[in-house]
Amino acid sequence: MVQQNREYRFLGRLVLALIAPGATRSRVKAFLSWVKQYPFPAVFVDMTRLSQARELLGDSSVSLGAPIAHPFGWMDSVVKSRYIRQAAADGADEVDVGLDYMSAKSHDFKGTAEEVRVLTTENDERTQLVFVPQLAILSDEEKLAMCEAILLGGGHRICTSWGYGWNTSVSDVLLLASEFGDDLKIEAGGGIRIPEQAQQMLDAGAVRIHSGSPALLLKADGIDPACSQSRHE
Amino acid sequence: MSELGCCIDAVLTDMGPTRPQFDRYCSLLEQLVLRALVLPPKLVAIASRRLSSLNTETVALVGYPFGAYPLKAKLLDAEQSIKAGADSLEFVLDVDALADGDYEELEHGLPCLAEIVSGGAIGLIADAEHLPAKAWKAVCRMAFENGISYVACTAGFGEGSTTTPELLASLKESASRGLRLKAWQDTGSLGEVQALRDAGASLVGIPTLSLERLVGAV
Repeated sequence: MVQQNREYRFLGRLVLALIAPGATRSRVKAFLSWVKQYPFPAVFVDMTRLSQARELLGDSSVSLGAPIAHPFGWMDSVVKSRYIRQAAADGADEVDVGLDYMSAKSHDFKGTAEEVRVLTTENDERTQLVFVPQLAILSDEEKLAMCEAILLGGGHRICTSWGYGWNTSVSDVLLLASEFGDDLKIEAGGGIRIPEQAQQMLDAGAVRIHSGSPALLLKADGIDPACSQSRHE
Repeated sequence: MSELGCCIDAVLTDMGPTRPQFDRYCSLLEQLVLRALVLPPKLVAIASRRLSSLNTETVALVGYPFGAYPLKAKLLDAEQSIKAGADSLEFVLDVDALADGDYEELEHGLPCLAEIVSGGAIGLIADAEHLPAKAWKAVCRMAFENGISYVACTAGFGEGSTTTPELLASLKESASRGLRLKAWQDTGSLGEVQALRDAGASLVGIPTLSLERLVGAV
């Protein structure tokens, strides 16, 4: 039953994912068959599952994404660029990209800006780049400096955190939204599970919510979450 | 410690250590003399220079934590790591592909890796928790046949990834005879490392975060 025309509280801004381990081909198939019944803005799978996912999504309006250098960001920029190109070739509309967190924690924000510049310059612009500053490991000053560096490098969209216990707070979103306004599109991710929390993130200025445990958010929209089990939190 | 140290690998798994923290890890390794520092490709060059006067190997960790990247891309990472000075490679296999019965990484990847390291050692990581028994056996068999140095039964990512001696013994039983296995111990407790050795682990990985504790224990 296609559910494209209903009004939803979260669903239109909720990004789901099915990420390893456990993303076998049969699970990806079941997950995406379920996803494409609804107007989710995007769904993420591992790079190794992009081709399969592209085929399964067919002409669905759901954007397809993949994480790159997650969750540690430990890849050379040249290698990340190649991964981004490969993801695009395999059907990704967008990618979440981990950054060099050692540079950031060592306050080498020029290094961060340069990395973002390389990645945005090398991107063919078909693929939307979403940078992950991993706010949970940063102080408030570092959060602002990191996002400033992302903007300086030519990025304009972030996903706040990867999850896996590295969570995002509403105050993080408020801080960034008040500092950067519309210049920086903020997707909130990391530990967002309950409707009140998701609503606060959206009210604070997040344009999307990434949730690895979206059951309660889906229930709030009247959707059976049985097939939604996704990733890493 | 030296006897146990030669079977312990320190693995850099913390998110965003600062450069001084990374230097501190290298200093601790100078004191402890462990077998290897296993770390992401991006840090290989700096670690290789720093550890060059020690008997501690620099091992590039490719595909961490889940191995869920295309083989071609991982091979590129492996190649760059060796060029940057890695002594050997630890390569995370895509467990979901293996669970699907897709053994391309083993069939085509292992010969490519052997060419890349040209005589250097290769370790594989196959997260046994997520593998059907049949796939674990296939990994072990093909690793043994291809002269792989060891197979690690977990990448050590996330809480609760410590290998128990019981699990190790059971994995050892279903692995090819003569294949070396590597286990994971989260806290760096020497007693628990020894217990894993007694259960049949040839190597034990510990997180760099536990190096301070290890120095205090010896």
